[in-house]
Amino acid sequence: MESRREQLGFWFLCLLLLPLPFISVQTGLVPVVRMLLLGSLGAGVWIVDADYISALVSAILVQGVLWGVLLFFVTRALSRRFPRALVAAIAAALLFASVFPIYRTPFSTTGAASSIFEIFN
Amino acid sequence: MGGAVAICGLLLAAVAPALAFERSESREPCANATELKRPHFGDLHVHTTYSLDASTQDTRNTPADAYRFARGGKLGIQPYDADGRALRSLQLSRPLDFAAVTDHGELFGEVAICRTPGSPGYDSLPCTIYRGWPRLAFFMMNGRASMGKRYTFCGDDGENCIDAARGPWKTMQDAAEQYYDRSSACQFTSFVAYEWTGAGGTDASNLHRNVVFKNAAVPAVPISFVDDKDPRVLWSQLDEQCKSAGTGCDVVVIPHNSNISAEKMWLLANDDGTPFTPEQAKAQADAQPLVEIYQHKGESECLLGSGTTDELCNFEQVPYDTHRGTLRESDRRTPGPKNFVRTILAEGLRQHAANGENPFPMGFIGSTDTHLGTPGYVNERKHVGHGGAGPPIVEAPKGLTDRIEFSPGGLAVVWAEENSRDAIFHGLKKRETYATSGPRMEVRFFGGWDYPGDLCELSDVAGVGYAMGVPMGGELRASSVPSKAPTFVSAALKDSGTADEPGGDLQRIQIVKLWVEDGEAQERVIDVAGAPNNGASVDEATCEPQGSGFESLCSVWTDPDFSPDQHALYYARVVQNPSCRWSTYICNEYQVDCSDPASVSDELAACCDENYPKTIQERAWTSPIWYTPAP
Repeated sequence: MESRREQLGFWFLCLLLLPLPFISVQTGLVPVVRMLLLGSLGAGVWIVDADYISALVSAILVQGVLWGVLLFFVTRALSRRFPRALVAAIAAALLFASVFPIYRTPFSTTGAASSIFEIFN
Repeated sequence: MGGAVAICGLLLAAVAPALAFERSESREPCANATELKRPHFGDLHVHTTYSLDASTQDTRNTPADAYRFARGGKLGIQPYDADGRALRSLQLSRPLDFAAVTDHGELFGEVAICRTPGSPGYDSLPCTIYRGWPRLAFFMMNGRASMGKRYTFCGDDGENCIDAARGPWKTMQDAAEQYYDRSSACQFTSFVAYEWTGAGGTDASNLHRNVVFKNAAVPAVPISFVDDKDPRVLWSQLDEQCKSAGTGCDVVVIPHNSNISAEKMWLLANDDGTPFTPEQAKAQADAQPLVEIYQHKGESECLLGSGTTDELCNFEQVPYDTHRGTLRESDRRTPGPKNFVRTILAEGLRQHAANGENPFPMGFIGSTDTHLGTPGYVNERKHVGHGGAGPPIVEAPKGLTDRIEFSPGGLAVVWAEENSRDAIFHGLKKRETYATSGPRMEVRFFGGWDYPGDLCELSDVAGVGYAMGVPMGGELRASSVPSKAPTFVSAALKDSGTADEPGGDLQRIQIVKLWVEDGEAQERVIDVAGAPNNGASVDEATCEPQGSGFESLCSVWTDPDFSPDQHALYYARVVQNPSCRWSTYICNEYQVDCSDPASVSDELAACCDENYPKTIQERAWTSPIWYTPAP
């Protein structure tokens, strides 16, 4: 149970912090949570205003979900095959790196690199 | 005392030039007014941070900034550092004489609401996306506007957004007023204006039109594409809210980028296919006296192979016929003939002959369509891109600064007695205008029946031109002597440029004649001055001009094939010697070696795209002179 919680925690951490490519009319490098948040907002607009952005919203959500599922299996494999200390070190490295400008938010005015605080600001 | 006043009045009457326009506003007369007019160089297509597409590319310059830039001020442009300091700046080497900020009129209210905490709709989902993911908002909000729809947060009938639009609209008016020179120095004229951003449906075809007002009397809010998608409604609403409002308001509507309109820009007949009545044709002609035939996103005069064999029509063309072509290769279609103004001018002649009125008697202007708030920045040597449909500027670019198919754009030139709103606007309405692809060459073009063959040797070409005929944009009525053919005087003076950037020599003047024969449009392009085979060229490696051209050119040409029964029009095209295209300057700067593709970075790959020339021939296009047969 302990190991299961750790594995899920590692997965959530990656969902929240791991920069992953986002491909659409504009590209980016953002965590899955960011993609899902954007997709959800877009879906909301789509529902409320019957907007024409269904294709864009779908692309965002599909990429977010696919990356999320892929991350689930990858983090599970890592948790199972590697020692707990190594996984903890990876998580710590990710946490440390996230405060630096390693992300590129799609659909921003500048596309400039930003840290985890900036992309969720 | 009374005698002195009378004498002063007589002296003034003797000294002050007779002005063809009427004053509609309170201002000092210009000290340097002249009856024979001067060319005034300007830009009537400028976007600032009030345009959604510009602001979501981080353009922060306001309408006031744009006018300050047009008058010669230095202006910062994106990217900005964390403290909001611009990392690049631009300045015109020569100020403009006039400009109009033409921000997109569709989303003024929406953007104002999304930017103003506490306003109704600020917390709505679209506004949340606008603030967090502006470029997504650009696609989303522009897409919705192009369908003629407003968001729920705009309230019933869009009233919240219409009301919120008054703020930015007032700011635009204030900026125009602030920078308008009402003193007798008459150094700069600003116009209140906006862009009606029409779209032809899901193909994103371009039906855009700029709306330029004569003076400070303007409608309460812009009449936008969201209000009604039919340009005829725009014209009728402008008539109702401006021309017939009794406020002194007057307006011109200037279509642009018909080259990417999927042949939908021009209304050629009624929706049911019936031809226009003379009244309908005249309404269209009165509303749209001008067309912007050259700008950042290409040339709309003509396209080689699309209804013409004119080789000089292969100039700054974009390889698609709608905005979608900028996004997807698979959406690229070769533009058809009805995308181009030459085809439409000929259609106007045909309809005039058939139905008694020409719906398309349009003069020409050029402009930039800058989305950086930098009017008149047409420098090929230092092109920084204009944004808009081009890429957002992420960092100071390391390579080509714009899409390879785009250009720095052109200028609008108006012949006017003085630099005031009334005088310039009068020139616009009379179509006494020409377009240039950037250089400030001076071009005269007159048509008449009795010009002397040695007119070019006389010192007063303009005086004789006006006295014995009509200038560019005019209509030449049938001669009382049926056997006479019309004579056209074209004169061009090269752009003197600046000490750092001298202007290019002229190569030739051409006259383009369009006419209708047996109901079919015909065209002929005649070299009337200069030397097309003068051997001048440019060293593509250094961009140094090779060979020489002309400082000035002048020609008196009589149409040898004239038929008094045929509707016809004539316009002049003045062509410079070859010079380097903007992209060549940048590719040279980075020492791109196309023989070694592996050495060429992605940002410079387009340098080696053989579809785009290394050199161009800058040019000017005068408004046509129309010949109308006797009834």
